[in-house]
Amino acid sequence: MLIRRVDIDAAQLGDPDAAVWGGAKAAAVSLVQAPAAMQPTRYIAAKWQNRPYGQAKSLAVKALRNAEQIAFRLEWPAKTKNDRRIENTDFPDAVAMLFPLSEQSPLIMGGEGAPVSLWYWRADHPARARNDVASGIGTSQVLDAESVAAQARHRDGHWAVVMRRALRPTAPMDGIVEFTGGQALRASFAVWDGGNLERAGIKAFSPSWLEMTLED
Amino acid sequence: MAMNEKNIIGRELEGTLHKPSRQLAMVFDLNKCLGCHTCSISCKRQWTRDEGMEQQWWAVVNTQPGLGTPKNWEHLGGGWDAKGEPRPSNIPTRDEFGDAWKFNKDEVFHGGKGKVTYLKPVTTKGEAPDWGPNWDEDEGGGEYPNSHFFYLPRICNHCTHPACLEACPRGAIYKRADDGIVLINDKQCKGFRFCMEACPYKRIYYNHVRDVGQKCIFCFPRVEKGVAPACARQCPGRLRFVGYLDDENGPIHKLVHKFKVALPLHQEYGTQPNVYYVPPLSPPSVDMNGRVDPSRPRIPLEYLEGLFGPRVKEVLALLEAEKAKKAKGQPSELMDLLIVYKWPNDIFPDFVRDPAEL
Repeated sequence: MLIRRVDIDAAQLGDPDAAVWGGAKAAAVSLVQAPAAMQPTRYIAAKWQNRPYGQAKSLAVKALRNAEQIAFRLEWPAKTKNDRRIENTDFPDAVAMLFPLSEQSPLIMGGEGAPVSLWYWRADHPARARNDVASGIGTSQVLDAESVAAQARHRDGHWAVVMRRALRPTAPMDGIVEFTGGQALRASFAVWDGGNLERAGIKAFSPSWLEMTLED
Repeated sequence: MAMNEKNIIGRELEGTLHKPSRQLAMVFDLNKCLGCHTCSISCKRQWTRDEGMEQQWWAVVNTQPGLGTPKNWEHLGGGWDAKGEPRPSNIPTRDEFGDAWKFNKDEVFHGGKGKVTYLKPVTTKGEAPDWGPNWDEDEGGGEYPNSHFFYLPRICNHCTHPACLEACPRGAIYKRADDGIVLINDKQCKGFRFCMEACPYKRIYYNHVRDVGQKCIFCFPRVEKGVAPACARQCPGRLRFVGYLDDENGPIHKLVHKFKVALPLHQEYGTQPNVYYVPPLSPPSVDMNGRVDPSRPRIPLEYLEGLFGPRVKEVLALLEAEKAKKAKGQPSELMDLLIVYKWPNDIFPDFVRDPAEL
């Protein structure tokens, strides 16, 4: 998928309903339930082995860039809007993108010595996504909670979320992914249905990489 | 602690339970508990006063028989089944724990309505509560003239095979090797709350402001300085013993291993709790004509066995026998141990420091 360069301001780039997104081509990313057998603890596997979860089948991904920023627009089916986190059983809806930081980084949350960078948006903090880094299941650490801006809306049983960030971070560091015009990049995705108490590995995820090229 | 570490104490690896080198434990003598709740309040004042902790009560005192805190916790699942497999459970809601109420103090005290309304609580949803953290206090069970209840103080049991620790996908819960205290690392915790499901005693709370799980910490900052946990030190009933299980000179070892009068609560949950209970004696049951039946205590034996296991009968018999010896002026090491003549040395000899002197 080509991430086209457009000459628009950040406000439009970041708005999931901006006209510019109408012209962008979507990639349909297939999602599957993260298997119960892959859950890292016996409790989680036992609790969820016979319960449906990760039922979103597909995520529509669009991506654009302008002179300085890159934005990913993610849209997926979500019957209910869950954006509150007060009751003990409240789990907000969420979506995440995973960028490999090394050649060997597996798309399943990375591995030892093969980290991944995660952009994690959750509906209780609708205006930003967290930038985490992980080297395997259960190891994610928050690096930065502010620099990925987000805008989201829930309508007609769908979430549409745009995550937007500077192409080159002002303070480059390990774990922060950098984007360079002309380069190839890949990402995988995950979606959580908060209304179904989904969190951690109880999610839908893409079992293959989405290959992209960033227009210069 | 990352999930790929293989040596997490309290976790089962290849069928073996990785145990701490020493284990701190508590024994609660239920013959002495008045249900005064000083323990609950001392813990609350010490640890759970911050925003997001309003509904947290790490130390509770439930009336038994009763539904307790959270409501009906004994039947919510969690822990391990007879085959050692995790038993699925659910996260109790704030209402089931008994949410933090607000009171209409303004209208009663300052709003001039003191004569037309009364001080009353409302839930966070603004409704009259129909459950609280100690709602069924003193209701008990049984039928007159044999109604009965006793108090059951409960904290995190700092289990040897903790279901919470094993449930956490981030390895955010760890058991200390030197003393067996089980703690949630609140930097590693992401508020997934599988621990809340897995704990069969339902002693973990959710802080929605910080998005982490929180629970009793065995007052480890006090314990590390030789000061007893707040709940134990403040207890006016002198019923909360604290010490190491392996210390043969200490009260814990004597009550649990020597005299064997301290029993685990719901051992069938499989978590190997390190808080033990001396079961309560009760007066004999009586019929409507006032005739006493000494063979049947007011608190039914079967009920106590359902809590503390099959040894209750022999433990109660031993307590009666030792009480009788003492009453006749004969010596009884067990009774002297339980009475706690000298405080704090007889009850937590390793933790006698006064926190005011630190």
